[in-house]
Formats: sequence, C-alpha cells, structure tokens
Amino acid sequence: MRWLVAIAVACGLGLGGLWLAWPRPHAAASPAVVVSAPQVPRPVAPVDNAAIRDYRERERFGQDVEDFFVRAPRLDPLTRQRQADALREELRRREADRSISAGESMNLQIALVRATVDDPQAQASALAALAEHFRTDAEQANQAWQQHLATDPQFQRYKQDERRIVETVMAMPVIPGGVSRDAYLREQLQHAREMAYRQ
Amino acid sequence: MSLRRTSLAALLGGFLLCNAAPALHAEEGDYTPLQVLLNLISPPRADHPVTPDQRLGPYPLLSNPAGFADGFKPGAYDQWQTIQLAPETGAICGNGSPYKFFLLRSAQTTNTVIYMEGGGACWDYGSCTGQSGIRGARNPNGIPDNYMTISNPGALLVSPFVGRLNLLDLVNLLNGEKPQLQPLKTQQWNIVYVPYCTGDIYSGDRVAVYPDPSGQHEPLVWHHNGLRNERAVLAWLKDHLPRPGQMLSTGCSAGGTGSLTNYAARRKDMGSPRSFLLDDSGPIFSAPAGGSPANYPSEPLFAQIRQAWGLDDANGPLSTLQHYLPGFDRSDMGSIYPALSAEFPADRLGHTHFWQDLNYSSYSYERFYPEIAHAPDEATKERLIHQLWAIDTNRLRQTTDGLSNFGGYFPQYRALNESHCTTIVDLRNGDIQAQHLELIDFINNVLDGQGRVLHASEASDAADRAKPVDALYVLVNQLLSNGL
Repeated sequence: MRWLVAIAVACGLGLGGLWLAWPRPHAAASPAVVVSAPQVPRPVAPVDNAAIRDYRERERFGQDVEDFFVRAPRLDPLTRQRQADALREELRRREADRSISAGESMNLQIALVRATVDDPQAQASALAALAEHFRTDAEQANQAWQQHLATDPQFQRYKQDERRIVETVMAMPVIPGGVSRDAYLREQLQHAREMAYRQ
Repeated sequence: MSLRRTSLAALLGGFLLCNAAPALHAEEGDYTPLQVLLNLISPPRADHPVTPDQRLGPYPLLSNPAGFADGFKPGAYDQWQTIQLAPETGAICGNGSPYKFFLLRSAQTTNTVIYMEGGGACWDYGSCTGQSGIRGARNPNGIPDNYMTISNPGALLVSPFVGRLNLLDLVNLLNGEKPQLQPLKTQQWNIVYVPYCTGDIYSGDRVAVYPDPSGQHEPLVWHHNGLRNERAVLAWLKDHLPRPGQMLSTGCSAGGTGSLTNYAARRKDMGSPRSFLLDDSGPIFSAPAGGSPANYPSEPLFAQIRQAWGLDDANGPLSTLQHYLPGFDRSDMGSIYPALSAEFPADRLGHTHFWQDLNYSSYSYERFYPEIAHAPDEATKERLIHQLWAIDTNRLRQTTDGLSNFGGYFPQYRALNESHCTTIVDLRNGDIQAQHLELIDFINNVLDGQGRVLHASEASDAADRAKPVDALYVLVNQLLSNGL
C-alpha cells in the first residue's frame, strides 16, 4: 500500500502544481474581451491545503478588483454598488490579514467612490468622509506609537543613557582610542543600545 | 496493476505539464508551478547567507543575534510582514528607536524589488524635529510596527512597485478610456519596503547633536544612520531568503537617491545574476567640492550634508562607496553615474525626474540661496528654483546620454506632488508627447529591454500643462496639503 500512498501524494502535488500553473484570467485578458464580463468558472483546487487556498484567494481578489473597474462603467447603478460593497468588505479582510498595504487600500477606496458615486457633490462628500477617516486613522496610529515609545522601558532607558553619554562625550577634552569624537560617540551609543535592549 | 499504471501516468503527466507550463511565461528567478506548490507547503530557505568576510570592514553585514524575535514567518506569503532588526545589527532610526522594514514575500519567484521610501532630508534642528514651515524628513518619531497599514499622507503616494494589486490604470478605467492592464513585471516579485527615518537619503553615518536655535529645548540627538540600516536589511535578506534571480533597486526622492548610492554594495553583496536600478527623482548632481555654485548649483547643499551626515569621514560612507565602486570620485558625487555604468556593464540602470520638479529642487536650493529664501513672492521663488534645477538637470542628462546602460528619462511636468516623483500613485502623465513615449515605456525598457537603455527628454511643458484637470491628482494634492 505504501507505493499507492506515495503515488497519491505525488499525484496530488503534481495536479496541485498544474492547478497553480493554470493560466490566470489576467494573462490572456484583453480589455475588449473582459468588458463583457464572462463568468468563466475558476479552476477548483485539487489539493486541500490552507496555504494554497489562501494563495489562490488573494490572486482572485486582485482579479476581481481589476474586473470590477473594467466593467463598472457598463453596470447598472444597483449592481455596481453591490459589487463595490462586496469589494470593500473583501478589502477590509485583506487589510486585516495585511495582504494589502494602506497605500493600496486608500487608492482603491478613492477609486471605488469615484466609480460608484456619479453626482459630483455626493462624490465630494463621500471623498471628504473618506479623507476624515484616513486622518483619524493616521492620528490614532501615530498617537499610539508615540505612547508606546513613551512607555517602552527599553527605549526610555536608552534615551536616558543617550542623554548622559552625549553630554559626557561632548565635554571630553581628549577622545580615547585615537578615533574621532563622532566615531567614539557612535560606538558608545551603540553599546548603550545593545545593553538597554538586552534586558 | 491498472490503477498503478494510471496513477503513474497521472503523476508523470501532471509533473511534466507542471514543469513545462512555466516556460510560457517564466523568467530567470521564477519557480516552476510544482516548486510554487512546494514553497507554499514548505518555504524555501536562504541559500546565500552572510559570509564571514562580509561581517568585517567599516560597514559589515551584521545579523540579528540568535534567538532574536524578528517577527518573520517564512510561510506568510503575500502578507506584509514587519521584520525587526536588533541593535546588534547597527540599525536604528534617527530618534534612537529600533529600525525595522517590511516584506511581502512571494511563493512564485526569488526575484525581488527593494523599494526605498522617499521623504525629504534633514541636517539641522528644525528640519530633523519636523518643525513646521521647514522642509524636513519623514518619520521623525521612528517607524510603528503597523506602519504599512496606517493611512498616513505618505501612504497615499504609494508606488505601483509596492503591492500586488494592479492599480495602474484605475483612472483611465473610471473615465471609460482604454486601459492598459498589463501589470508591471515586478508585480508578483518579493517586495522589500525599506522605510525612511534617518533624514540622510540612506547614505549617512553620524550621530549629530543639533542645538535648538531658540535655546528653549535640549539639543536634538539625531542618528543619521541610513547606511548602516541598509547594511542590516541586506544582511537579513541574505540570511533568510533565497538569492534573487533578478533584483530591482528603486524608490522615489530620498528613496531614489538611496537606491543609487547603495546600488554598488548591494549589487555585489547580493550577487543576483540580473540587476536593475530605477532611480525616480533622487538625482545626485555633479558638484565638485569647492566648485562654483553658479556652475554647480547643488554644491552648497553637498557641502552641508557632507559634514552633517559624516560622508567624508575616514572609512566613512564615501570612502566605502569608492571601495565598492573604484570609478567613483569622492570629490564629485555626481561621478556615481559613469562609475556605476562602467562597474556593472551588464546591468540596466535608469534615472527619471521631471524638469519642473519643485520639491527635490526646493530641498536642494531654497535654504542655500538667499535670493530664493527671501524671494518677494512664490512665483519668483519658483522661477529661481527652476533655473538652478535646469542647470543641474541639463548636466545630468548629458552625462546619462553618454552612458549606454544608464538611461535618463526626463519628462516635463505632472500636476501631482509638485511634479515630484514620476512613479508614484500611477504611471500616467510622465509622457513625452513629441516622442510618443510614456513613462511605462522607459520602465519596461530598463527592466526588459535590450541594447542601449532608453534616453529621452522633453523640451517643453506646454503639452503637459494643457491637459485637463485630473480629479484624482486634485484630490491627492488636497489630502497631502491638509496633512491628512
């Protein structure tokens, strides 16, 4: 039976590889063809592995985004809104699992507003709300980081040592070891950092 | 026996198909589909770790100590990972906080983009503390662990080189115009995002002590540690990832300059078979030490940063650069272009910036020329800045024109971010209409071309300024000016 199991595993790997090699819709898509939005069934994973599933899901998201913006001008408003909402939901998940950066997300969110809100005034309001959301997010994150630094005992210990070492070195009439004052200062601070973060 | 034969046939057929398929699109450095599958299940390990020799010298490649929690998850593909660097690596942010960088790993390829973040520069108390009213440097408070997911103003200027989504043509799509949906060649590569927090274009090595001119605050202790940070990032990449088959070094503004100054050492220490440089709007203009500012407008800036960032120190950044790049003349940093071209004749190198760039140019001249600093109005100030920028740009264009593997691409104007950086937000409006060229033509030529790298320059900004108002750019400019 061992050979049968080995072959089954190898077959799974082989077919999995084939599945991965399956041409992506993107590779062959010309804009003119994609606009008609054919509902091509996607290949089904023959290997049930979470890492592989996630991999294909991320690829699918990228393709869905591209497809949406190609089709958006031809969709009726209701369908367009529904699909945009679905993308936003997916975007939130992608942000949470860090598969998309803030920059990509921000640009995509702006584009989704522009693709779904036709009225200029309503679009401006929606974008202003989005900007406010970005502003709040950035302020909170920056405050949280500064709070973290202010209460991080290792960083605070280093900054105390840094102040003391700088004062000492800048006041030294002669620098030992035949190195420059700058080089000596750097070495002393490097040592202080290593000590502060070692504990 | 029938089942056995069938299974074997399926295995053989699947295997052959899998490993034949990538020939259709794979490039040097790409994995076969079977390898991709195996990578997802069992991530490949490093195959070119730092050697003992590389741990020596004035700027050694120093690894994290054993047991240090760097945060790396080898199997977390296509997710932005925060990689922590220990103090022992020599890495640190300007304010003394720990340095880190970000990795988006690919299961498909060893090929790697190293993207250096842009964000100004600093050389005194006001500019390094982020004081308002002075052009300063990005991230004076260091780099948060969740930096890649924070909606800060800089994030809005994301480059198409940073991320998996192909957003290149959103605006054309939104306008119902013909899209160009082909992604960049690097879209699925490993992406290393090197954040900027030292104010020294990734090139300095000095702990500066800047006194507060007002005398109200303690002096600022600022670590211009960019070069050592780059070395620590490189050491980590070598210790943890396979050697890239192809490597692109790029970035905009300070990130472009950092990509340029660090190219030679990175190129030699990584040893990638194919290597590319795309410096977006981070020029190092010719400015011989002691040269006349009338002829070399960037000379006063360079005199300032040579001292502030410790560039000329014995065994310091410039002497190390010369070690890696023998043709480099320390007395004229602009010599880096012909030196790189000669040292790496098989590499494809490119530089691009706008003639009307008003950002990098302001850093270069505004604080060094009283007639600019005290110009009676903005229009006069801009005119004077453009005049000096034109002198410097013209000389750089002539330099790259003479180099077959170092292309120069100089469009005129884009109504975004003061015409600063051609490759951020999208790749539109970096066109040179008279020659029927788009910016993407230049990028593709650098990354995929043969023979002499494309050289092109735009003579007039009239066609650029005659374009209709771009709603996306207006919005981005507005968000940036409001500081988000």
